[in-house]
Amino acid sequence: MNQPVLHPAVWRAHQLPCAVGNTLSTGHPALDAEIPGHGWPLGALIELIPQHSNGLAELSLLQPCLQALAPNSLTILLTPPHTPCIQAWYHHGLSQQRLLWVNSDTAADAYWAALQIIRHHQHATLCYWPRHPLSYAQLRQLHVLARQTQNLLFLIPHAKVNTQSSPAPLRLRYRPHAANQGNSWGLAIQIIKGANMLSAKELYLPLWQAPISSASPFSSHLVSVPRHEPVSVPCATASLQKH
Amino acid sequence: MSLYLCLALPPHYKNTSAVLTALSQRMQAYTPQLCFIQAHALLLKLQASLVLFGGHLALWRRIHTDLQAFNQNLSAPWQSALAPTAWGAYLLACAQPTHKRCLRLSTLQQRLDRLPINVLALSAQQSAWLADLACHSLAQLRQLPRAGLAQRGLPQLLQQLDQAYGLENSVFEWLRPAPYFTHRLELDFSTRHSATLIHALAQQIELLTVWLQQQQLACDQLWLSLQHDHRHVAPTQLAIALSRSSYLPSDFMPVLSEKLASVALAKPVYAITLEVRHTHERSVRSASLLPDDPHTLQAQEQFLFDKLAARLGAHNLRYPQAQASHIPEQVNNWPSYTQQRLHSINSNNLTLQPLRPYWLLNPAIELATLGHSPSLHGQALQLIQGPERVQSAWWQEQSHEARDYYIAQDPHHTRYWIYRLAKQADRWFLHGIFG
Repeated sequence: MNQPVLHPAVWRAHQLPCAVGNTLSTGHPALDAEIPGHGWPLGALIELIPQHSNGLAELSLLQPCLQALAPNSLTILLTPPHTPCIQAWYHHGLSQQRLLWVNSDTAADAYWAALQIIRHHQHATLCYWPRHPLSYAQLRQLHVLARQTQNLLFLIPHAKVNTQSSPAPLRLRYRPHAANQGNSWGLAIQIIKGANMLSAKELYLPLWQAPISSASPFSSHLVSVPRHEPVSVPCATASLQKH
Repeated sequence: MSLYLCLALPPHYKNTSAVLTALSQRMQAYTPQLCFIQAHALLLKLQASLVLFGGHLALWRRIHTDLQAFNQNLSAPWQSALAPTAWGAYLLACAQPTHKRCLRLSTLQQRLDRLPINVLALSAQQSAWLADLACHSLAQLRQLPRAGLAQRGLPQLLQQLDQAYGLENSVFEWLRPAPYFTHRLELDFSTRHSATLIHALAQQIELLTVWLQQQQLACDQLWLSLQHDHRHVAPTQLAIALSRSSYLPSDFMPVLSEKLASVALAKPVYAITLEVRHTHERSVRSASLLPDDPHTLQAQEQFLFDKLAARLGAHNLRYPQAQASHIPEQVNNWPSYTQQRLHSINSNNLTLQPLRPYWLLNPAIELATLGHSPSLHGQALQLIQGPERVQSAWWQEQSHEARDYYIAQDPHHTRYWIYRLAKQADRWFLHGIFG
């Protein structure tokens, strides 16, 4: 008797979690190997939880993925913790995006704006920094609305929501980390939810390598500033991998 | 062949002119040819609208449904009649019973013959004189010699009768739509509830769209004035800007409801005035067969931005527009979004940029120093990368500023962008965070 074939969206307990729908490569091969679906899932809520405080290093994490998006695609920064800097977007090669910075006076308005953006757009990238922690129902509403579209939805809450449950299918915890006696700086990522639950190891993603020529990191006289190039991450082209 | 509809109120009904003016604005949706045939009666010429509305019967029913909807609060005793001549319709409408239709001239003439002469506006003396002559109906009046009637002071009546019976043509000057639109609606009770205000505003928007439809115009800015109960409180003025030229209610209503829901009203509102100051020619909107058409997507995006701007305020939506300068905080210019197309960052035409942090702090925060090194939150920062000199306006003595920027790292490995002035080497400022 043949095994009945179940729909791939139905998860059986002995399976490793896998993504349903399209994914977009993160640009970091080490991270791609760990996340089910080998990339950021489109149309799902993704939580990036900082270890200490937010506003640190999410955009660097997302930079290879944003660089691979189609030109003229829309990126919306919703209530970020600080003012964004246009020059940084130019420097990191993200200048063919269209950027919009949305602020709001109240947290309820910001949540409403997030819902409207997901509802009315199909291929946008939304990075949302909620000022106050969102409840489970609110997160679920965001996820359900995003499921019907192909938006990339990143939620960067405060550090303390780490222990709360959330309906997001992918949750990462990250902190900046320097390795190799300061010659390399990057992020240490721990996948809380979404990957193989048995391993709780931390991934290290290097984002910056010190130029080999400079001997000491700080010299008292003027030195010619080395050109700081971002690490050329072999980011895959924006080929959507359907599962 | 022509067809006229006359809607009349009894001559001594109160407030006739205001009611008729309001009704005429509503009836302009059915035909552009309207006029006030008398002070208490409205005439519509329906011949040109028959094909669009699917025949005289459908149009009659539609107009009457609309009249009942309009009449809900007033309960005015309307009388109406449909006839091939204008004055015939008027005379039929003035007589009882109400709501008559006739389509052929012969039928009209028979019906008119049976009418009593008090439908005509006669003075008391003239009606007494005609009664003495035993002239009680219009048929008998027409049998009297015309020269005698004209001599006795009734020439206008003869002309009216001729026009009613279809023997002469009648010419009317049709109402023209006003060159600008202003509408004031008084609510039944003063309220702060946004749902009530939106309901009242919906009626005004309908009138606005009818007016726009008549002249084939479109507008993209509305001005609302909400008048409050208290005499010394100034009316609240709201301006609503839309990113594309709109002429349908579905273009206006979502943005308006968001705006009204977000406005905090201190005092109750008892009247709303809707005004449109600038209109422009309507451009043809073409629908696309494919769902991913870039025009449709762009229209949807602008609709989204309109809604966001209406609720959050236009100052909360910002797009990047870099200014050419050496100083980082001057380059970082974020003007408010004002209903234009959003372009990519590339359109700023900046050249290749040096390394900059993702987040800038504006203004830069001064850091305390531990020993000789800068510190943040009590922890000393370690300098990672050497100084980058940024100077500005070296040709001016006053505003010349030279800064040395460094990349610093704290014990949690977070990277900051700090600077110190070239002249005062002991003060450190935090200008950016590497995200």
